[in-house]
Amino acid sequence: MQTTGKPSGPGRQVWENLSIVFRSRVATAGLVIILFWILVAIFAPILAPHDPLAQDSSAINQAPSRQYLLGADNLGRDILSRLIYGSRTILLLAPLSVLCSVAVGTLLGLIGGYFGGLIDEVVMRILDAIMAFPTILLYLIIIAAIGPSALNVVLAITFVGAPGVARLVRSLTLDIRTRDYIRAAETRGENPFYIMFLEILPNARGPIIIDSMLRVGYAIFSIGTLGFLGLGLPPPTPDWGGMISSARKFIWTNPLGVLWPALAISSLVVALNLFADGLREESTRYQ
Amino acid sequence: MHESHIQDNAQMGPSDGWIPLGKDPLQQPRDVPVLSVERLAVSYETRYGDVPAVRDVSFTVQRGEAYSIVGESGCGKSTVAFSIVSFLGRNGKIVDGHVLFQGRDLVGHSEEELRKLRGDRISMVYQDPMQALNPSLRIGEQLAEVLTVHRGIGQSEAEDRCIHMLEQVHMPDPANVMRRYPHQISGGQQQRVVIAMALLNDPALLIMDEPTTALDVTVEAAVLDLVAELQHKFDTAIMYISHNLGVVARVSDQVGVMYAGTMVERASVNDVYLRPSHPYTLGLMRCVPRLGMDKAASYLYPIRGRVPSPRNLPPGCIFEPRCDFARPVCRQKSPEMCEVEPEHWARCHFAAEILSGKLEPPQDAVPDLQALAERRASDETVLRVARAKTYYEAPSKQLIGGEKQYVKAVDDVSVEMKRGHTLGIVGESGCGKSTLVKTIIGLESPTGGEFEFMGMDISMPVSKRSLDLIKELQMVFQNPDATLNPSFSVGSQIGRPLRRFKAVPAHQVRDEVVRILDLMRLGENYYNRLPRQLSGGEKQRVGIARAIAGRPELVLCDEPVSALDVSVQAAVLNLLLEVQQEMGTTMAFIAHDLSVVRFFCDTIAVMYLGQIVEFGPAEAIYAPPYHPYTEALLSAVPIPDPRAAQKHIRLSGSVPSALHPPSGCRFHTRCPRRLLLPDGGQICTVEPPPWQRNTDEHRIFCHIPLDTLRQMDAVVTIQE
Amino acid sequence: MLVRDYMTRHPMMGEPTMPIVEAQRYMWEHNLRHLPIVGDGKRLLGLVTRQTLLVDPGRLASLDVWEITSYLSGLTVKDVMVQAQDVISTSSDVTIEEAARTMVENRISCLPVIEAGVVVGIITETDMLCQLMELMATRAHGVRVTIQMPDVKGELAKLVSAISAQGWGILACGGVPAPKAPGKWETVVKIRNVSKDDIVAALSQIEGQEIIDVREM
Repeated sequence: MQTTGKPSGPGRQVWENLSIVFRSRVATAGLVIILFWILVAIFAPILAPHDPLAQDSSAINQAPSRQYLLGADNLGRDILSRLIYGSRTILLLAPLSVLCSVAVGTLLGLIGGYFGGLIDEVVMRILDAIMAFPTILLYLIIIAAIGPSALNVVLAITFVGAPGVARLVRSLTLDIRTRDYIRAAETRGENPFYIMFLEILPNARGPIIIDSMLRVGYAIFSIGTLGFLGLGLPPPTPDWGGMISSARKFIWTNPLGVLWPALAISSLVVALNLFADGLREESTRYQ
Repeated sequence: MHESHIQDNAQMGPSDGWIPLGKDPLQQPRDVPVLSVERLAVSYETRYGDVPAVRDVSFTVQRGEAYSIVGESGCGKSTVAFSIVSFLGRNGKIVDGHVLFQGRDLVGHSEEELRKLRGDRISMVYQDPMQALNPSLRIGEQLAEVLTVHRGIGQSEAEDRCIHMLEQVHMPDPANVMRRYPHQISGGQQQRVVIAMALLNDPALLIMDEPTTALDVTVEAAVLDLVAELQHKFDTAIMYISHNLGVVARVSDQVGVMYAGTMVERASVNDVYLRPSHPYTLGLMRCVPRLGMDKAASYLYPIRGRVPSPRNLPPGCIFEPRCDFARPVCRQKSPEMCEVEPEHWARCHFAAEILSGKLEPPQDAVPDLQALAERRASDETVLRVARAKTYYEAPSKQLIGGEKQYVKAVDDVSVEMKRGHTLGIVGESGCGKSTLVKTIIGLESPTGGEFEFMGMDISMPVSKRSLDLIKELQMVFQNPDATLNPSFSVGSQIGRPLRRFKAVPAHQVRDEVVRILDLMRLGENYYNRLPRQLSGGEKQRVGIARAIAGRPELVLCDEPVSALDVSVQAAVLNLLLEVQQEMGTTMAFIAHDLSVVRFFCDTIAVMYLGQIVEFGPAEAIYAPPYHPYTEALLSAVPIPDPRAAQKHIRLSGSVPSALHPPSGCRFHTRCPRRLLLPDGGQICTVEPPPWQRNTDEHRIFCHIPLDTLRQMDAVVTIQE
Repeated sequence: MLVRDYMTRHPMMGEPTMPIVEAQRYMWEHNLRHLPIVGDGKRLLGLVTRQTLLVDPGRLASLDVWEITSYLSGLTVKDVMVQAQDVISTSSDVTIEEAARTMVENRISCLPVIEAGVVVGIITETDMLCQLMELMATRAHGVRVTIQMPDVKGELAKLVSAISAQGWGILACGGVPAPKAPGKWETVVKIRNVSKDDIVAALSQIEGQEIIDVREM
């Protein structure tokens, strides 16, 4: 194939990867929504019309008005500002927790998949045991044991998410390790960790990235759920799940109080799913 | 009512417009070709727009004739076949031309009309028999279905007919096979079932798309025999698609050569092979080693460059960029198919000159193997393997306990390799040749035996070897798509062994890589390329570059060219020769293609079921006395020369399981020569044979006395 | 000398939905006189010959020009073919002379060859004539002699032994009851690598037999 007219080297690779995203309408739509929320989170102090913690006793459970564009909650706080600041929390915690679970899961998956044998059996049986628990129950147990805090939410999601990642990475490793280039590395007497991280991992990155995208979506859900159950971030931190939980009690007087944070969560989750789906479809097509 | 078809020609003469019969009515009164393809063009829709996969392909297949389409991968030969059975998939379409089946056009009809029109009169056999067989149905049910569904033949009668048909395709124990599931029979037998299934329809045209590519040579030979036999018995026209010039020479009457989506030459098989008139055909014939050629006396001429992508075809003649005879006119004007001599068509402006020998292809000097010869003079043994055993533990069928069983992949094998020599290892799949090589390089641990490499013990896995030892043993792999890590550039992958073995100081690695790339005829601009930007042959060259970068003493090549197209194969073989010449490397070369092994190797080991049965210099292996297994292999190997006559020796049955190898001589269950021994070779079933020495270097592992073996005729003879 | 050896395998066939115009063109283009019509699985449904494609003028007389066109273009093979139950067919295991007899007795010029309901081939008058030609070694060069002999046991043996006494090879040999002489038998022998005169000299010696025709061909 002719390569003229396109940037070469690493720049070319970035360009190719990006062009995959834009080739798919689904992925582009997802990316636009995600970028929207990222910008909102970055510029929260500028965008938010009010202090998310400021209470206005005259506006309790108020419907949308000129002053409070999306209305106010049961303590008279501006829902829009809380949503805007809430995006900061969730966009920080969700990717962070996924990053941790991918790191742990990848390590375990590589080790299990590459070495095989007894190590694989032990690691995978333990992970299977973890996966056997219903996730909600696991969250409850962990948070109840170590107490609700931002760090502990990350820990809980890592713990729950890592086995899934490990399974994925293990199956990818099992496939890749049969390739001849792994044989070639072995005949060079390479260290097993060199083979795992430099020969196998780079070739497994595609599925791992796509899986991570989906996992960020699930993590947002999980953080919302934990917030709803009161196990998320301690109040009064603006937290979408917590907002739904507290507004739920007043659903008959102010139904919009539940709707807005619910919409925020679902838009972000749907966007991430769209993005991941579009990416997967484009990267596997015509191969 | 019968009067309606009486004497209908009584008063009609030629003047009525009915064409009179030919002069010789015995030559088919109805001489309409079974298949006639006229200027066929097929395109696939992709996201880059329509890609023309096939352009301007014309040929005719006569009744009872075998027509072969030969070409390298991606030349569109399968697309032609699929367009005949309208199986182009959702994104493929016929954009121009006609496909006439028994004189009726198949293009431009709906699916339903086509089904009626073709009826059961065209059948197709694919490369992978499992594509045509339903794994969850017994073979008998699948076969009988062909007869019971449309024809209303009763179940029991259908079964009888199926058994009869299985007998016709020489299936051993057909009644038993009918009750089995497809996975319970071997690949060769599956292919027979598929052929039987196709023939139950009694098709006028049978399309076979690489039907033997996945099979071993001995099985392939038997299937090809079958094809030829059935062609005559059933008067079926056969369209045979293959990339293998040897196979095509054996089966076909007429041949069409395809290149980059179009047909470049078509003629009778003798004309195509012996008097090619298109530069591409000529190139193909010059780049395959013929059985009997060796590297000291002859040279393979690779076709330079690579097949153009269908998206990016050259403006004039499609072969012009790779053609040795190209002239300015070739770049401007695309040649039409022209008849060089009666019934011999070629798509070249200078076909007549090439045919008459006015244009001679360039002759290269036979490579100078002088340097290698000097290095060899030392005659030092580099590798010595004695009584090597590599067993795998077979998974026990019992849940708990049970005796451990071993697959004896390599059992009691002894070989020696001399410096600068090349050892060829041949045998059917599953004979243990790969395991032997993997044990030597340390990817498998030996169960027993002595392994000595330049005086050092190497009977341990690679992880326990010292870096100095590791450096000296490197490997070249079979599959070009898996040999390179897709995530790293060519340069970094060749540089890695240099860094690891500290072959050159760190700051010189890049220069050294560029030097090696030059040696591989790749050039510096390949340094930053990723593997997916390379063709199969280029990938394989990078794989070789990586193996030789650290200047190893011994390079083990596991079928390095068998996944490549023939034109590329020659280039890679030449490259390996050059490497060996320049560095004096010792090589082991696994291959199933006996012509390639004969060309490339000095010494050959023939393996069967984990054991070496014959060992000796290349020329000695290919002449009597033969081990009976070698003899059978040689008689099965397809030779790209229609004049070649081979002895007809076919092995019965399939290779026995290595879990329970036969007692005595392991080959006795299939040996066609056992009867030469007194009492029908009882001794073969009991005692392992002795090593008989023909000459100092040539030894045969057989009970039959050497004198008897010496009296046999050569397997292959070429009739001038 | 069985039908299976001389029939045309994989004959060109049509399907019942084929428009009659197309069938006619198909037969015309490829010089076919008979077109078996088959359904799924190549089961015989009928037979089209040139005769069946002729349209009864009586039926057309009542129609005007436009109606004729639409009438003709609407006709399919199914409407005109000889239905399967009326088609006389044979099987591939029958001797060629038996097939010939069937054809002569029914005054038809072709027989579809059926195996288990499926058309596997077709045998026509032409195939029979080809067979006659081959029987008489028409394409080989030799001397063809016709000898009239009494219809008595042992006469043919006399002839053959006379020929073999000369060391000649017989290309073809056939005998029929003499058409014009009751009680006599006419035998045709074709012999290779001999001259006409040698043959006459050798065969005229045989007692009771008479050479009625000699020609070199």
